[in-house]
Amino acid sequence: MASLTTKPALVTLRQLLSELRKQSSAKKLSDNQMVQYVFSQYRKYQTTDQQLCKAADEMHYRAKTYFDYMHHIRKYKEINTEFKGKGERSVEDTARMVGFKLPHDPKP
Amino acid sequence: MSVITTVAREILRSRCTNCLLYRTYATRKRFYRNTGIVQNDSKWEVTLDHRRLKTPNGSVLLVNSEPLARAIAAEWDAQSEAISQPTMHLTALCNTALDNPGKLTSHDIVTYLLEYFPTDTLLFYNEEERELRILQEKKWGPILNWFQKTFDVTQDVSSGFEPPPMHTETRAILARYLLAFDFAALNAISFGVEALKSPILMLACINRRLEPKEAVMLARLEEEYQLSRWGRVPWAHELNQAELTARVAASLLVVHCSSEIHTSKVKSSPQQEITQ
Repeated sequence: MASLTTKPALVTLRQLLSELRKQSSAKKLSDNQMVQYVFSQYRKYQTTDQQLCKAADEMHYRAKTYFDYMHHIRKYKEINTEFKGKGERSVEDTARMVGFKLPHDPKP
Repeated sequence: MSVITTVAREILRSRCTNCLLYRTYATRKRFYRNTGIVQNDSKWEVTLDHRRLKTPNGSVLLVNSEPLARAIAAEWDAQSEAISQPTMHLTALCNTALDNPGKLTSHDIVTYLLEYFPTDTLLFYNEEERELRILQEKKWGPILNWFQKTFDVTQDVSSGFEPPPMHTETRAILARYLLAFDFAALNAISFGVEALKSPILMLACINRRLEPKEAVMLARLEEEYQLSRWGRVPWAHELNQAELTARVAASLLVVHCSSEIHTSKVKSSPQQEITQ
């Protein structure tokens, strides 16, 4: 089972494309150089993805690894932006939290 | 004055290493529109618009393989408004391999990895909780067996706090295996080993026995076991999991791309043969 036209390999292709769509800055997905390259590689290794005749699933493994990389970097960024601390509260915010107001023109 | 600034810098730096979450680093805005690659002799360069991507030391970023160069270009393309360099592991790995800030040689890295080996996560079973121990034997056992069979070595697991002994033959076999990789790949391997805390899991990934996701799962087995009992916190556990998986996947991409052998023979598919 080393062909890149098997179902799991095509699932990986769809995952890769979806991830590239989310991250690419190009308007059309087909303009992205990585998309073109992925397609060319998938076509090239259509019959078999074995280059060294010892590792099965060589290119599919690489495609999966690349997908993992992109997917988890995106996930990491998302979690990070969601939970990132906003820094310390200002004096005014703290005062408002307990129901106080700061004097409007504090004199030194 | 300068003393105060150095002290302040020290504090900031120590805080950075302790908690990655509150890391403050200078960010740059995205200053380019398109990214691409160009071929330079037998190597590849990454371009941002018309500029060439350079390493922090100022030399041009040259990589050996086309897919890696393309992946780096895609990585720069994936930056939205600000360039967040800490999440660009492929670029960082290639930069480190080219600049070599630690002035290391391949032998240094191999020695480091061999010293790391007896403290491998997979060699330390839990002795207090029976349930966890059974889980570890079930999940880690096959990988340990695979390792012993593939490399034709025997490796004991630890009992207690002492790291288990490592045979001289094991050392020799692993050293020979690792020295066959080039410097960029070795650098990536040590990056992956540090993420997984386990050379055996990294070797299993390099030989395609495990996928990065599975390897990270095995490396975090105890954590996962505790999570199943005490609950998951997304900003700690999931963040950590995502980060580790990305690191391992990045190092694997570099290893596999740099050790590939280019063959010009393309097998044609059966349909094409019939039409010809």
